[in-house]
Amino acid sequence: MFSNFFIFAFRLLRRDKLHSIINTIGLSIGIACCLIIMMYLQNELSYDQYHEKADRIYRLGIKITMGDQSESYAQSSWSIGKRLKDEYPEIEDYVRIEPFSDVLFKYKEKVFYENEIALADTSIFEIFSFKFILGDPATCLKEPGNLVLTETLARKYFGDQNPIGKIIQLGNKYDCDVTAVVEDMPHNSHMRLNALVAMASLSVVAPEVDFDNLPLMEADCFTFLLVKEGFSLKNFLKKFKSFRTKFIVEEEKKYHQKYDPIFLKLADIHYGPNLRFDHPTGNKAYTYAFFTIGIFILALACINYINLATARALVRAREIGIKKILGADRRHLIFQLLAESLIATLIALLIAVALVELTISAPFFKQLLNGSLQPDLLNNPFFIYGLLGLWLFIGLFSGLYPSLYFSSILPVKALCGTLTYAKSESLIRRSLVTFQFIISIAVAVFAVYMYVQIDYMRNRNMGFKKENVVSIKLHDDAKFDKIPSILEELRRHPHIISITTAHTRPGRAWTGLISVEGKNGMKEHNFYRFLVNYDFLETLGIELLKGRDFDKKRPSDKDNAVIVNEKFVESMGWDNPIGKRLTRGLPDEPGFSGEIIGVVKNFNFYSLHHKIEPLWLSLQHKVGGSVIVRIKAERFASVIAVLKENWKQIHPGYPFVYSFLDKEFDRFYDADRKQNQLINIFSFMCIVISCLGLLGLTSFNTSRRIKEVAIRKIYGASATRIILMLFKEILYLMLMASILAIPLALAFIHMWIRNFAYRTDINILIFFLTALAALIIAFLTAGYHCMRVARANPVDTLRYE
Amino acid sequence: MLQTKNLTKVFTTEEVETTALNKVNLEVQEGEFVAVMGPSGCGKSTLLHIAGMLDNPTNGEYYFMGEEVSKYSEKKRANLRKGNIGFVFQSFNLIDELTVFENIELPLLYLGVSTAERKKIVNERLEQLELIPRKNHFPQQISGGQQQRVAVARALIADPKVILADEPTGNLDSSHGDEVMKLLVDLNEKGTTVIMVTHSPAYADYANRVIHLFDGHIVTENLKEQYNKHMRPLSEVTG
Repeated sequence: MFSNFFIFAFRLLRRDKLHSIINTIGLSIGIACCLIIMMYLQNELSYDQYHEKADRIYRLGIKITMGDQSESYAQSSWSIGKRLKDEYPEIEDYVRIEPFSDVLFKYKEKVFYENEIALADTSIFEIFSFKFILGDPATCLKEPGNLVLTETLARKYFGDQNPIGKIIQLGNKYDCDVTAVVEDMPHNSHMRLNALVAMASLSVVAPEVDFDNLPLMEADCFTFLLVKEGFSLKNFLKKFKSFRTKFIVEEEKKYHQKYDPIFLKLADIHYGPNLRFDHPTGNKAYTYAFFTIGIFILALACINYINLATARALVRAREIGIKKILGADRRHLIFQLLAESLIATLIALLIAVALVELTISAPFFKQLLNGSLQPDLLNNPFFIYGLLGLWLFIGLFSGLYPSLYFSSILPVKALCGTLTYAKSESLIRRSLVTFQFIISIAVAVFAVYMYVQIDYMRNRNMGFKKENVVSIKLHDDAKFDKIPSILEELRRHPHIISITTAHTRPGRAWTGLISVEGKNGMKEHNFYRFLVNYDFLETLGIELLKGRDFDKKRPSDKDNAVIVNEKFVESMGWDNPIGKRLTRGLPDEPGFSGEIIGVVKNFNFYSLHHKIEPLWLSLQHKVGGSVIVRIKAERFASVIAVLKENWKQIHPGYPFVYSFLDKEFDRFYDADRKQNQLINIFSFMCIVISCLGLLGLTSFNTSRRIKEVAIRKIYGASATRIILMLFKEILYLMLMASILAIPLALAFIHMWIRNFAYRTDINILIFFLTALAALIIAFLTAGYHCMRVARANPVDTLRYE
Repeated sequence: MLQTKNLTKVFTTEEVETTALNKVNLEVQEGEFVAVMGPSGCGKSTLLHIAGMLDNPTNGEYYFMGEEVSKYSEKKRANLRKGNIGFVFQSFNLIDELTVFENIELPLLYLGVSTAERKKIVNERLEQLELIPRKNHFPQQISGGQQQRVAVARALIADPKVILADEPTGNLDSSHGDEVMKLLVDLNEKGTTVIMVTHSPAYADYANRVIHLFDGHIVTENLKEQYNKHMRPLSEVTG
């Protein structure tokens, strides 16, 4: 019986080629999009879960509260892990990880800056799951200078040679011996380390520091705790009171701060709270948006199937009627129709798998998805189960309505030709296509708005000039004594507008506790700070509103001049900020004591996801951080060559690497841009699927109206008039869809825009133009069938009447 | 075999009511060959559809093999139909996506006959009808006469007690029409009850009884003897 169903279904597909092709293409695209979204979500929702002990690993962060202000950090003190392990038997082990970026790696002639190079305790391999290619996890991070490389780094420096025992110099200073090679950490790791250096190396680098007894108030490294089976965080936090009494209370008194631990389960970090010093976390808004779009695309593809299947009712009614007369009962027919749907879905599924394989192997997509989707589909059990699930779901879901519909056809009606489409059916079909366009237009509007918002962020006046500004990082072992004279010389270069140095600058700022003179004496605040050099305001084009800039001729500026931004003044409620005092460090033993000499106009020193915060600037005592240069745009190459030449004197042995400030800022929107590209693609797919639906509907509607059109033509209607008549229906459908798409698009936009402090207005033109584009696409789609019917010779149509 | 009492069928559309059958009383005995004649729209096909339990009457009673079925649900009717009634239509009503063999096999499939058994029965029937060379052809690949022979073969395959034929020769030229008539006569001679709607007095001659319908009423009922004067030997008809 089953083989009969299958043979029949195949013959049916072959006979009705146009419908079969529309159906298969629509379904394939829909399934392929769905599969990609499914894999993307799998990757997003499984962060860090590949570690065997993931459910027993917690990261310990800290929340520091001062008065009514608090700040939460992803990192904690060097000493807390050991202290907790010693105090509580339920803490099985701990590991401290301190990642560094821009670490200079040198092996023979190979010299590169590397990121995510971490100091780590040897227990890292006990707690986390690393796959070892070479070396012994028990000993590879034991001795100072032990270095564990990931496969990629090992290949980069040693090619096919065995790296074990080889020496790589780090930071131009420390010789490290490679003791092991591990597989690259999977993409779904919140922290993707590229190399590990033994924590024991600290005893060589900083022998004077007793890391196990450093204050708990500091947030210096990531601490991960491995807890024993049956651990309850709730119970543990109750017990934590004794720890607080023993270690914390005293420090709290000393620093005038309140300390609270933040325990975060490993798997919760990716979507966890936004903590300072944390690695970038996932954005749930995108996850929800993709999930919703995935469901929508699936719905669109299923709607096409249902619509096309039921539109063929009159054609198929005879066959169903005959089968019923010959003894087929409803169950048989439902089985047969579901089997047809399952077969159509299976074919579409196979095409979709090929499409997915091609898509995610394409360089463009690899870059878009950061290579996080593995093209090895058939070895991904999730993919296989997902595939099976999708097949059954789509096959049964889209086959259900047609099968119930067809199997209820009365045979006598089918055979007498008295079966007609009820008005309600036509309404359902039109509603389904309208629904498709509602979704397509809404997603398209969302995609366009995303683009407009990202464009707005990139081009918005940030309050400083980020164009033609080059930044070059200075390392700890730079020839600092030579820098001022070199800068002085460079300043005279005709194509350099301005040059300065800064530890912090737009894109990289620190916060710190300060005491500021308020109405009722000094009050503590946690404000952002820039540590800069002379000419900083000029180099970055920051506008001075009140007072003066730092002045080389006033030596005291170096020790106590402070410039603040408008927001600082506003939050302090000052009328005249000039001359107001601020100190840094503990109130009774200030490390820095300054006086406000100027106020600058507010500028965005982070991406436009963030609001402008109070900020203060003071001068560097020792030149360091980065060299920042503003260059005349047209003389770019020559200036870079000059800078490179001078670099050799400042940093012998270091490669010259520079970055553009505007590009650096642009990178803040990389994630948004990538998501926008993905949404663009999915939005395009929604439109394609909907157009296929419209194509099917038009083919059905026009074939139903052939006779009507012929009669109208005989009585004098022109082809144009006929086409307009046929288009009118589509016009109504599209207008309806465009109007109903508005609330849906607004919902999408509001969900997404929450992440941005600065938002562009929702322009009605976006709706209007998107709807217009959709209308044109719809007319083009429907055009062929409408033209064919309108231009047909009425005699041919009416010959058999 | 089947009997109707005051059988009435009214078709209702939004504004119009059409009485297709009006209090029809008819009894057909087992083994009879009944021809139903009448002008277009007189209710012939409706009568056949109700007799074949494809449709329910609006009023009146209908006994099929002694069972009153006029109020039966579609499901119950379908069960009773299965294996008891075979249909032959003017437009053959073969399924285009199925081969000759598969079309004929269909009723057996729905009766749950095993694959091997089905194959045996269908092949025998194909052989009788000299359709073996055509068994893997699709309906559109064979002639109209052959298509109707296949349709008759399909109607007979489950050995039904009654054959209902709705203008079985209507779409055929005379030679192919005669061929199909011969099949029906043979069948009737072997004991199968046949009810045939036809426009052709010549083909109606082969029935034991001819009933004439007009505006939903039976206007005349003639036994074969009364028609004797019109009768010709079968050989004369089939040439």
